[in-house]
This record gives sequence, C-alpha cells and structure tokens, in this order.
Amino acid sequence: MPIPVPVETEEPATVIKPKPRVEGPAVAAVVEVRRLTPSELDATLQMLVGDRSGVAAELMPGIDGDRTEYPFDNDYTVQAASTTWVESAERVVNKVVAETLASATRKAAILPCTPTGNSDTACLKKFIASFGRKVLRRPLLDDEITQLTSLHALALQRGDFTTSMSLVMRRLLLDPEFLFRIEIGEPKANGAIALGRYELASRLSFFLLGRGPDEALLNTAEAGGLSTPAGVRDAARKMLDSEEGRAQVQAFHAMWFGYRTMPYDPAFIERADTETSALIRKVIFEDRGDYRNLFTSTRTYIDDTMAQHYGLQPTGVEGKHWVEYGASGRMGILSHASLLSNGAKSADTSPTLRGKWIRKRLFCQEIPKPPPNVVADVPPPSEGNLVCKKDRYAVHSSGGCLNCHKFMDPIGFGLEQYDRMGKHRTAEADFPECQISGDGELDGVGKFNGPKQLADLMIANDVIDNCVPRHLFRFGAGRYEDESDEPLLRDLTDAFVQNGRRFDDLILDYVSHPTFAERREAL
Amino acid sequence: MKTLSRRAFIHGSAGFAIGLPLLEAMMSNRAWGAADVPKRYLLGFTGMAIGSGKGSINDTVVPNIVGANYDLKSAFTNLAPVKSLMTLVTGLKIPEVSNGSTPPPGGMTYPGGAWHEFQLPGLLTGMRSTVDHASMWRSPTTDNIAADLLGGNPLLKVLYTTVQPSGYYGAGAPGSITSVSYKRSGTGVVKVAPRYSPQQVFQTLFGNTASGNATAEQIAQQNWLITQRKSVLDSVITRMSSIKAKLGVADQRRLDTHLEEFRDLEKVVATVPVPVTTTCVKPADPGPDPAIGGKKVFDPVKKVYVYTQDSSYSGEEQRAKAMADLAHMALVCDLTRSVLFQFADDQSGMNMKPLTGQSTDLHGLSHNDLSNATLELAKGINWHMKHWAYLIGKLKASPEGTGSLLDNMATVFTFEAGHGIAPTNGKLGPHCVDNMVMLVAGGAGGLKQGVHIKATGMHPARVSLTALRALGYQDNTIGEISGEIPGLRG
Repeated sequence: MPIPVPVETEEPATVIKPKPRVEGPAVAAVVEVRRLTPSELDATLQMLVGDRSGVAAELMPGIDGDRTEYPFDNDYTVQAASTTWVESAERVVNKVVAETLASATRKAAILPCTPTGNSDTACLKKFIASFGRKVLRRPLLDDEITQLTSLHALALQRGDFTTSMSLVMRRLLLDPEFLFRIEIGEPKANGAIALGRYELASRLSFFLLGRGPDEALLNTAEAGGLSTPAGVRDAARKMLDSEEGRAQVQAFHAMWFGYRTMPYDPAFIERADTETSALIRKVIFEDRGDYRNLFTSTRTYIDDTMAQHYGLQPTGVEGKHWVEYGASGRMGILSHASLLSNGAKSADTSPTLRGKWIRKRLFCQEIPKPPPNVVADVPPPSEGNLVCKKDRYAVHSSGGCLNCHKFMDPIGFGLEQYDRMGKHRTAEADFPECQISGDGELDGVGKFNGPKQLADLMIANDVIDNCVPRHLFRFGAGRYEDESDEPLLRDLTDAFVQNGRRFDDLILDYVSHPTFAERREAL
Repeated sequence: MKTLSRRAFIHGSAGFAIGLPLLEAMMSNRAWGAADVPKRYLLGFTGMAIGSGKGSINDTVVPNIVGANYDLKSAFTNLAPVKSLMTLVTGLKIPEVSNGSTPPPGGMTYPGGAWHEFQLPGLLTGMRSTVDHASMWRSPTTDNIAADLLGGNPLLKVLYTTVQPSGYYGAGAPGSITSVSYKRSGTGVVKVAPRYSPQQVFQTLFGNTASGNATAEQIAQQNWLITQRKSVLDSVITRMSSIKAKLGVADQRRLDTHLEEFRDLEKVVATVPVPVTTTCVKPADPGPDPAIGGKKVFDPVKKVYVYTQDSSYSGEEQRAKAMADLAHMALVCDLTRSVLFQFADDQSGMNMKPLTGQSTDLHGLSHNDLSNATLELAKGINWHMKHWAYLIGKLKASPEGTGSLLDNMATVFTFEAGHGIAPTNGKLGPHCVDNMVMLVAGGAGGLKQGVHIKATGMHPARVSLTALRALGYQDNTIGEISGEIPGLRG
C-alpha cells in the first residue's frame, strides 16, 4: 500500500492522495550543460595527470550558502556563473599544470614521445592528440590539433618544449568541454537527441565513477562497445565493480542519507561513516541481495567504543567487527548514528525536522511549506508547565498546525529514544522527569516504536521501492524529476521490484534504459 | 612626464605589448585635478542584529547624545579613532509583515520557517521582498547602483569581497557563503558571488604589477606570464563562442553566463599594470590564504557547537585585515570605484572564539540567554568595528586631490537587522528590523561627518540613497524608497 502523501491545497493540507500510476512510454530526460563539481574535477585531474592534492576542493567555491535541500552536490540548476569560480578555475589549472610538469615522472606519463628538441612539432602534435582526447573526452579533430599546435610558436618566443606543453595543457584544461559536461548529440525524429558514443561514455563515467572517462572506456566507445544496451550494461558492470565504482555508490548514499556533513568530531564521524559504508558494501556488493536488507540488517559493523555509545554489549574484540543488535530495538540503517544525525535542531533532536527529513529523503514525499505567518525557526519553547518535549510539541497537534505536523512529528517521536548522535535514551537529558516513550505513528498507516518497527512499516508499504529509483535518477540527471520523468521512474521501479531489488541491477537497468543514451532540450 | 591611462595599454594579440619605456611612463605620479577626482562608494555588511533578547533596546549601540560629540556605546568603542569621521544614523525601520501578505514598499515579508535574508532586499535595494525565496531579489544592490553611477571603466566595476570564506554549514566548503550583492541582468538581477580569497583578490588587482624595485628582466618575465595567460584565455573564449553555436537555446543561455565571466577574467589579465604613484603602490603579497576551517562541530557532552581555533574558523582576523588593505589600495589606485566589504552572510556564522574569546558565533551571541547577552553581542559587533575603523582610517590617511580619498567617497555600513520587539514572538530579540543603525562616512556631496542622527522610523534604504546622491545619483528613489535622511547632508 502506498504511504499517504501530504498534498498542498487551497485549504489546509488535509487531503491524502496517493500518486496514481502513470501511463505512457518513458521519454529522454532533460539535461542541460553541467559544470563539473569540485570533487569531479579533482577525480578527473587525478586520472589525467596524477594530481592527488584535492586542489579543486581547496580552491573552488562550494555551493553558495551550502543550504540547498537537494542532497547531491551536482545539482546544475543552482550552478550560478561567477567571476570567483572562473578565477578559481584558472588558479587550479595553472597550479596543477605547473606541478605536473615539474615532476619528471608525471610529465613522462602524459608525453607519448621524446622531443628531439624544442621545435619538435611532430611530438607536440602527438601529445596534443593523446592528452586532448582524454581531457575533452573525445578524439580531437585535425583542425583542433592544428590550432593548439599554433601555441608552439608563442611558447618558443621565450620558452621551450615544456612551455609549449604548459600552454596546451592550460588551454585544454580550461576548455569548456572539460570544465563543463556539454552534450550536443544528434536530433532524432521523436524530438529527443541521441548522445554521441563519446558523450555516452562521459555520461556513464561521471555517473558511475564521478570523473571523466579513462582511455579504456574511450577505446570501448570508439570500438562501438556502447552502441547497444547490452554493451552499455557490460561496460557499466565493470565500472560499478571497480574500487572507484564502489566508492561512487558510497558517495551517492552519503549525500542521499545526509551523513557526509555530520557536524561531529572526526573520530566519531569515522566510526559512523565506516558503520554505514560497511553495511552498504555488504548488501550491495558482497551479498548482492535485496536492497531492503539495508533496513533490516540485524547486525552492524562497529567497534566497542561505538557499541558502548549505542548501549550494546561490548564484545571485547579489538577494532571494528560485526555486532548483533539482539533485542535492543535497533535494526538496519535507521539505527545508525549517521542517519539519526539528521533532523537535529540546536542541541537536541527535533521530532518535526526528523519526520520531515524521513518524509523527504526516505519516502520521497514533499511536506507543504509552513504558512507565512508561522515562524518555524525555533522549536516550541519551554514555558510554564510545558517542559517535556512531548508537551511542548503538543501545540502542533491542533488547529491548522496539525494538518502538516501530523505527517512529521509522530515519525520523529517514534525515533525520540535515539538522540542526535544515535545514542539510546529513555528520558530527556535536561529534564530527567520527562520520560521518552518512543511511540510514533505513520499517519494513515500505523503505529511504531523505534527504528526496527519503522523499517518494517516502510517495507510493508513499498516506500523503498518507490524512493530508491527516484534518488538515483536525481543523482544521474543532476536535478529533481518533473512530470515528464515519471514514466521512466515507473519503468525503473518495476524493474527494481521484479529483479529482486538489487541496487546494482537497478543502476544497470537505468544506464541501459534506451532513454539514458538520449537527452531532451529544456523548453 | 606625461601620465598615461592604464586602459590605453591593453596587450596586443601578439603579446609583449608592454615594454619598459611604457612601464616607466605609467609609474609616474598621477595627480588628480580637483575637478576630475573620481567619486567612490564602499558598502560594508555583516549578518545578525545589534541586540539580543536581554537588556534594553539598543542600549549598547545608540549614543545618548544626538548631534556632534556623541558618546560611543560598548558595541562601538572601536570606532573611537574615526569617530570624528563617522556618522551614526539610528532608529531606522524596515516595515515588516508577518502574515504573509504583501509588505509595504521596501518592506519585509517571509514564509514560515524562515526570517533571515528576507529583510535584505529592502535593506540593500529598497525593494520589498516576497515570500518566494527564489525570486525575492528584484532590484540591484547599492554597490552595483554606485558602480553604474560612477563609471570610469575601472579594472573591476565592483570589487566584491567577503571576510568569512565559508558559511560553515553543511560541508563547510570554501566559498559557501551567501552573497548579499545583486546586479542587473537583462530585465532582472543575478546574484554576485564575492571573492573570499585575499590571495585571489591580490592576484586579480595586482598580479600584473611588478614591484617598485623590479629589474627589467623580472618585468619581462612577468609580462611573458601575462602574455601566456591572455593567449590561453583568448583561445578558450573563442572556443566557448564556437561551441555555443551548436547548442540549444537553454544550453546557450547557461553557457553564456559563464562566458561573460571568462571575458571579465580576460579583461583583468589583459589590463596592463597599475600606474604606480606616490600613493598607489603594489601592496605586500598577503601570502597563502589561511586554511578553510570547515563545518561546525557539535559537542555532545556540552550540547553546543564547538568554536575553537580549529573549527569553523579560517583566520578571519588576518583575512579581514588583508581584505581591508586590498580594498583600500584598489580604491586608491582607481582599480574599482565600488567595493562590497562583506564580513559574513545573513545570520553570521562568524566564530567569535579566536576573535573575542566568546565560544560561539555572532548568531549564537544574539540568541544567548545570559542576562548580559546584549553586552556579549556588543563585544562581537565591536570586533567588526575595529576592522571597519581600520579601513575608514586608511581611506582618510590617503591623500587625494586637495584632501583625502575618504573626502571623495561615500561609505555605508549596515547590519542585517536591528533590535526590538520581534513580531515573530512578541518578545525582545534579534529577529527584528526596528531600531536599525547604519554608519556613514565620507566627504562626498556634503555628507555630514561625526554626528549622530536620529531617523526614527525612517527606512534604512534612505541612508544608502543619501550616500548615492552625495556621489551624484540624480534620482530621489532606489527600489521603492524615496527621500534622503534629513540632516545627513548639508
């Protein structure tokens, strides 16, 4: 049964309306020019010239305000042009090129010939062709090679062959086809645009590896290896199973589940991150099992310090290892500190924000905005007899507030026995007389208490089936879905369910779907 | 020796357009005639209010004495060195509606769940906000209005800077700071990201300028590097234009905005070095930027965010001074005629621990429940005033024309909010745009200096309008707000 959806109406949001199943064939998604993210730039520079400095993350501006609710860092709809970004790009490129050419090893790794002298134009042309293919993610045209070779004359006015390499590299690494993901393709009769084979290779590589395509993938594309869905699936499988592919799957989850930005000390973050990453790796890559096992796992990968933090019995085993939850009430990823760190406000959890986060991130539902005359910036204050959180939040349970808060607060209260770092509690820390029951409710679905029972309700109501493909699409397309994307999401969801809910298969179904090799122009 | 215009020496496409003789010509003193000294504008901003939930309204900021010889309250004691130059305009108010209805002209409205930032359009543009965050900015901010007014084709139309390089939210990434500057674009406005790296500002302003004692070979090498950069950028811009032609309309539009920024960078690179004078000199290299401090860290025992030297602090003390030095010299050298000097964004996550010893950020100070919360906040505000006074003092100490650079300027400093009874909860607190205070300095257009003016209930955009009119702005309106502050000029 689908989870009832909050709907914003002219009247208070009391209407419950499950989304109807869409009809019609899937169409290509709208995808516009995208700027590489700092992490994509760093990963691509590492592949191209062996730069491991993370210089882009250090020098490139991040998301303005860093307050977007979109979980992924590749949302092109918020990529505003800025002088600061352009100046930073030039600084990054100049630094990386200088350091690469200052290293004999790194320089030799990108130079396919040994120049006979400063004026060896033939060798420079070979370098331009080989390096340019990797940078622009396609073979260079003859006139492009000629144009870049013209930099040689300028370089030799005061420099040498290395100066020529420097000019060529800086020019290529500032090329719009490097700094941006530009897909031109060929128009089709149905209004879609078919990606070229190299463009498809780029799309696959950025999606699955978080960087531009390497030489091997470009070779596969050149040989026609991506010209069929089966070929794409085969190439994608190899990428997905690589260390980089697995790391990209982890990065996707870290952004989706919101634990990449936990505001805690590094040691705690490392423990929490490792715990969640281990479960993801086990379910997706080791067991290759049902994705819902992420939510139903009866054990977790922690050390005794974390076990004590969670209130579990320490095992005495050194280091991180799998620990059984037993009868603790914990189960799966919803019990992890990483996920429970979401929805905090000030020093404590906010049942409202936790409920909202779960609705948005795990149910893929939107909560109507608060009415303009409500300030939701601060939690209900402690005043008079209103001391305990349950009593303070009761203000949300009547009148117009109830219409929206019933979708959020009862979910948050069902997880209230777990603080903002996932530690178990039965009373409020500041007010020990305030007992925490942990009783919660999914409006219109049923009551629950704690992560285990919430996970059971989510699975019984197909939440995971509907939401996982949606987030994967958002990450792939670099934007939220719109109505035109719903048939594709339906196809992906159907395939996900039919194929035993394997996450790796979902990815392969997505990239080998005919629409993945196409795009549409924005209107 | 004749002084040559900097703009006359754009590099030729073959490079090496600059030879030593030209540099020598440009290093001669520039003597502004009294009549042709350009006017300049400086806008300072920091997030948060000027009072907390404790104390009396404005008791740490507003002088008791009106007019000259006003008294400096605890939040402003660091203004003492420039008090005779600094005019305080107090009692300002942005009309606010909290029920979501359309506010009056220049007013503030906001959706549920948000308050900060929604007053900024009224404050900085004179245009009322809307509840739709994505489209609430509809008019340019005064730094951009001033740049259009003052013209002159300087290297940078506006020098946009921020002291705090990160908002410290989320990942706490560099540059993740919310800008408060919007410039015209087509029929609307677009946000402008401030430069957050002093080193980047230094390179942009003075990267092409040789130091005063550079040898001919050093100058030739510098010119060679400039030639390379220009050649690369020229080629990139040509490429962008040719690719654009192959794209659909939406992609063309998207790429166009980036292309414009590349052209601006090319303009910076193509501009020949600063004409060094007795006052305009290449400043010392600020060196590598202090490391970005990263996101806020929560202490589960104390149940507070931890503010130390190591968390969410990026050397703002050094950055503030470096940015002030660079902004000052940019104005001296006429590299820009309008500067945005942003300390932090709305709310302000400025970590005060390394600055004033207070273990919270400026936002936290205003929310502090201590009985002396407003006094604590005053310490935080006063840190900002130290740097503002430093910059104003430097502008005053720079001879220009028959007086000083400051004499040819209008400067305005504003806080995000005021102090009073917040409509959000009916209590005294920081979420209020009543009783706002703005600081004005500069001698352009007869601006009054060193006085305290009560402007009770007047819109703060009128202060900016007065400053702009002192620079020659002819309209009597910005956004939807009209009329100067009585007594601020004359």
